Amino acid sequence: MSEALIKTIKEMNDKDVLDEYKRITAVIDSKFYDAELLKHIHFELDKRHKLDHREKLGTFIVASSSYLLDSRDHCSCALKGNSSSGKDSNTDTVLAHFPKEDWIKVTRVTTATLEDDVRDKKIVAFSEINKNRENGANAEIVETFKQLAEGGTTTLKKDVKTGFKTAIRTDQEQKTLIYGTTETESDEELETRYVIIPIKGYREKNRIVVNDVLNKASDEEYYLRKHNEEESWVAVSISLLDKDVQIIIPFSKILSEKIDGKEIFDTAKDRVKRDVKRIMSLTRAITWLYQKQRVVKYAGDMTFIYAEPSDFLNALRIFADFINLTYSGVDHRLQRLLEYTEKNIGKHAEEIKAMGYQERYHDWLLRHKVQKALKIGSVKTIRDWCSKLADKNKLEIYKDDYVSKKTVLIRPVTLLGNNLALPVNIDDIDRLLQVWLESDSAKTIYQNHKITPFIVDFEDYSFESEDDSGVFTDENDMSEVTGEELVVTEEYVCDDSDNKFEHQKILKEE
Amino acid sequence: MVEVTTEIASRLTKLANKYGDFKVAWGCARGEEKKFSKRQNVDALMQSDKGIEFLNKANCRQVLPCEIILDIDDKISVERLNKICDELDEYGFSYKAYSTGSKGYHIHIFEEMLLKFSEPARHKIRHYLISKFECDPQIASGNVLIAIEDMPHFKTGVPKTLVRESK
Repeated sequence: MSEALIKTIKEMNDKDVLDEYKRITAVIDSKFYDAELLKHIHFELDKRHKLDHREKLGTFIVASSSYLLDSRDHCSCALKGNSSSGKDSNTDTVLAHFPKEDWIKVTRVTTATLEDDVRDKKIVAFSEINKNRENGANAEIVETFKQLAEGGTTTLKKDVKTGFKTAIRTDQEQKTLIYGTTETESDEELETRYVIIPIKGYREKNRIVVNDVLNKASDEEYYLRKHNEEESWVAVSISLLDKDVQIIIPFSKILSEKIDGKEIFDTAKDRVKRDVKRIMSLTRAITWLYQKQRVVKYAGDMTFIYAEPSDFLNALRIFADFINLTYSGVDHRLQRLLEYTEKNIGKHAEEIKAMGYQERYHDWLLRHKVQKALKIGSVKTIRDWCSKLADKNKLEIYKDDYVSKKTVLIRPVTLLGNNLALPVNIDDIDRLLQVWLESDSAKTIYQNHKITPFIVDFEDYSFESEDDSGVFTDENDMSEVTGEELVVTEEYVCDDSDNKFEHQKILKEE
Repeated sequence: MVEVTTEIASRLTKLANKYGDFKVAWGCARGEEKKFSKRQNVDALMQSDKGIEFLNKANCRQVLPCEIILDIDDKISVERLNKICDELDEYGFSYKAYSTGSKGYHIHIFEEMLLKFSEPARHKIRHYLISKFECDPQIASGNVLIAIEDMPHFKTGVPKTLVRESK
C-alpha cells in the first residue's frame, strides 16, 4: 500500500476505515507457526474468562470446526450449568477470538430467521435454550436447531415478492451452534448432536470474578486498554487461514486396534458411531488451526493437510471428559450427586438404624443429609435430581411412611461395566501412535517434515473442584446462591417459578 | 460532433479489464445541439461493433474504484492547482492533473490499493481528501460521471488536457 494512502488513512482516524485497513494489511500471527499455538490461544482466552480452562479451550475448538471444508465436520456444543455459572462469559470470550463477520450471538430467534437469515454465519450462539421448561427460552426452535446441527436445513417457502406465486428454496449446510442451558434434563436427540461442556459455579470462581470486577473498577488503565483494544490476533489470523483445505488423519486406521484387549472406541455402545465422528472432526479442527505447521499436499485442484498424532491426542485430552459426560447422558450436577452417593454409601447407617429402618436399608443415605453436604438450596431441587437419576436407573429411592413420613433414603445403583466412550488410557493411545510414527507409512507421509508435538497440559492450572467433602462445616452450611444460612428441612419445598412455598412446614434439622 | 477514434475504445476496455466494469456515456451540449446518451457498461459494449462505436464516441466515464478525483470548480486558478499538486507530491500520491476543457481542473489520483477497500470505505477516503483540498464533494461518489481524459469536453469541444503529473 502506498505511503500516501497509509498517511491519509491515519490522518482520517475513522474507525471503520482503520479496521478495514488493518484487515487488508493483516498477516497471520507468528504464533500460528509455533507448536505451542493452543497454549497461546488458551492464554488469550484466559485474559477474559478465568478458570474453566478445558471448557473454554474446548468451546474454542468446537467453534474452529465451523471453518472445516466438509460441513459434516462442523461440531456444536451445549454449555450446561447453573444460572451465573459463566456460560455466557465463556461463549463471549471464545467468540471474541473469531472474525466478527463469521458469527452471531442471539438471545432470541425465530425458526424462520434461523432457516433464512443466518446463512452467511459460520457460528450461531444462543444465550439460552431451555427446551423442557414451560415458555423456556427459545424452546420453539429446538427442532430447527437439531436439523441445523446435524445435516443442515432445506426449506421451501412461498415468495412474498412474487405475490406467493412462486416458492423459494433455501439450503443451509450444517452449522456450528453453541448454546447455554440451565436445564439438567437430557434430550437424547439433542445431546448426541452436541458436545456437552459443563460450566460449574463454585466459590473460587466467584472470588476471582469478584476480585477482577473490583480491581477493574478502580483501574484507569483498564478502561484505556479496553478503549484502544485491537481485534484479536487469533481472529485476524483465522480470517487469513486457508479454508479451502481437506484434512487427512493418516493414522486413523490404527485407532481401530485394541490396547490390552480393549477397543479405543467401545463398539458395544451405539453412540460410539457419533462420538468417533465427533472426535475426528475436532481433531481436524485442531489440525486446521495448525495448518501452517503441517504437511500440505496437492492433488488435482484439492489441497490436503495432514494431521499429526498430537492433534488427535489434544482432541482427546480436551474432550474425552466431555464426551464421557455426553455418553453417560447425565448432567454434571447429577453426576456430582451420584458420585457423592457412591463415595459415601453406608455413612448414615447409624442414624438410619436408630430411626428403625430394616437392616437392608442401613447402607443407604439420608437424602436431606446429602442435600446439606452438597449445599443444594432446596428440597425440590434434590428431589428432582434424584428422580432424574432414578429414571435413568442410576439411583434408588426409598420412602417408608410407617417409619418416617419425612425421611427419604437414596442409594446408587451399581451396574457392571463402564459408561465411558473412551475406555482406554490416553497415554496408551499416545504410545500406540508413537509406534505408528516409526512406521514406513508415516515416514512416507511426513518425509522430511519435522514433527514438533505439543500436548496441552491442564495440570499446569489449579483445577476447580466443587466442595463435596461431606463434612458439615459452617462454610458448607451456606446456600450456594444467597450465601445465607441454609435451612435444611425435609419438607421445605420452594417452587422456583412463582416463589411460593408448597409446604409451610419448615423443620430445622438441628 | 465528437471525433471517432479507435484509441479511446481500446483505452476504456483496458481500464475495464484491469479495474472491473464501469459505465460510460457520451453527451453534447454545444449551442443548440443537446444530446446525451444513456450510461452503458464497457463490458457489454465491448461485445459488439455497435458497442465499440459507442465507446469511440464516449466522452464521460464513471469514477474508477481505484481513483480519487479532485474537481477544482471553484476559485479556479493555476496557483491553486499547483498548491494542491505540491501537497499531493508531499504525500507521495501518484496523480495526473488535467484542464477539463471547460473552466476547471481535474486531478486524477490513482491508488490501486483502494480496490481492496469496500465502497463505503472508499467513499470516506475520497470524501476526506476532497474536503481537505476544498474541491467538489459530489465526485466522492463512485457513481458520478466525469470527462474522459484527452477527449473533447461535451460543452466546449475543447479536449481535456494533461497539465501536470506527480513527480
